[in-house]
Amino acid sequence: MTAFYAAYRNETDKLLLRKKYIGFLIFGAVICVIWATVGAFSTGFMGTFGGVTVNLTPTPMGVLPLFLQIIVPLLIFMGVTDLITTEGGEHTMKAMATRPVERYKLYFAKLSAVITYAAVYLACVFVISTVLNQLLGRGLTIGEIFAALASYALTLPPLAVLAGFAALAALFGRSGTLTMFLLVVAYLAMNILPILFPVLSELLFTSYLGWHRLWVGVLPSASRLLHMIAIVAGYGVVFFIAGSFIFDRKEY
Amino acid sequence: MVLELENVTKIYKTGRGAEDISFALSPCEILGLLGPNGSGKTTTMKAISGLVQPTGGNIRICGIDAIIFREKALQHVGCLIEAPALYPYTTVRRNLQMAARFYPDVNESRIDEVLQLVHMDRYANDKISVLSLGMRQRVGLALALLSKPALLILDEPANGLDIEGMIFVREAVKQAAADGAAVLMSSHLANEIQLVATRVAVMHESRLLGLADMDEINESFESLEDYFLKMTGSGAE
Repeated sequence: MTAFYAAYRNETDKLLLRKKYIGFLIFGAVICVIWATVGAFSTGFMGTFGGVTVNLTPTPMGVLPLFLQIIVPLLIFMGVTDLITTEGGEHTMKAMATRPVERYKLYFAKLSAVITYAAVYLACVFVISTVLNQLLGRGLTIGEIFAALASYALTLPPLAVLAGFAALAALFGRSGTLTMFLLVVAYLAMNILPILFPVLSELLFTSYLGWHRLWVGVLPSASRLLHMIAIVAGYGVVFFIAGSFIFDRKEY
Repeated sequence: MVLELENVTKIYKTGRGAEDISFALSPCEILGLLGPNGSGKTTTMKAISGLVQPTGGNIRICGIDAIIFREKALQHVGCLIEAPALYPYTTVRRNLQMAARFYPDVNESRIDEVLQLVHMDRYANDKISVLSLGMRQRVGLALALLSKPALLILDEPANGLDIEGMIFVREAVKQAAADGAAVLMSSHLANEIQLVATRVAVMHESRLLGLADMDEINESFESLEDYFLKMTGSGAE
């Protein structure tokens, strides 16, 4: 556990020591401020632009889809690319791979650091959007705030699976830029394919990124919930085991 | 024994690598791996430090099977393989602090100690990206020495160094051995090995061709180069 904790602290430090990750946190805060300011003058506005439904309600739930579907996945891709592909390419992976830590622990530490960053990012978005909503919007009840908090927390399992997928793919990458590009293309494809072939929406893990909507409010049937949990957990286990197996055998 | 290798083999898809390598290393010994580029020196060192998985053979570090129990075995190893692996976006001290987290006995005062040892204490708060090649090599050496390892692995440590830097590395290696470490050091320069090693292993075309004490070589051959040429069979007719 000491070795894992040491590796986890190092991987988290490595993300936070790069200015861009702090910059993206500030960027997220700015988006929340703009969103809340615009939303304050058009409360409840909802419109469709180019097929994308835009809800300018200045609440934590109003900003969540933008962060959940676009910004946080991109940050996850950037994190795993930096910690896996770029370190492999720049030969800095040796710095950790020659330390007394099992490879699977190191891999899990890298994944955990990226997921922690995503969680902290969403927590910041939640806090900022809630405070701004109380100041500029109609204000939320305690019940609504807890429901929003639960929704934010529920987004983490599918985001962890997305990180597992990205980390597995990053193990095959040779250049950070190319890996990032390919991950974005794959993510776009996984979001477009279910529109063209609806049967895929049940099978692709990216379809479950917005599953918090099903958990908060009227719950679907137990079998449906079980089915969703099984798919998300199944993908997670497969991605993690495959990734740690390949990382264990990877030569640096 | 600090290090025992038995028939260690690692062959890459290119057909190169290291084949059937066996030797052992005791405390206070400095074993010089001498061979041309591509002879298998780095591959052997990478196999010992867990960077590549051998396709055959056994490696034991301080009696621990290093292939199965990598984490436990690497507790006793400090290494500098190829170019030093440093994070350029942070400081010298932070690089050492990150490595130190894996060793419960390594604290800030040990970090200061190794920085002084490699004469980098003045640059502790400088970012790696602004350091020269020689300075980076010194930080790499500090990282290898940080945990007072029983086994010190140095792959071409004098690469890219000026004369002063090369003398400094020699002294640091001798000091580590005097403090009880077993040192495995590679070079393609016979002179570098001759000046520090107590034993020499000659590698050529992925194989270990000979292993002898430096004293024996000095008695029987004009120079280490002569011993190397005899072992590889490439001496003047």
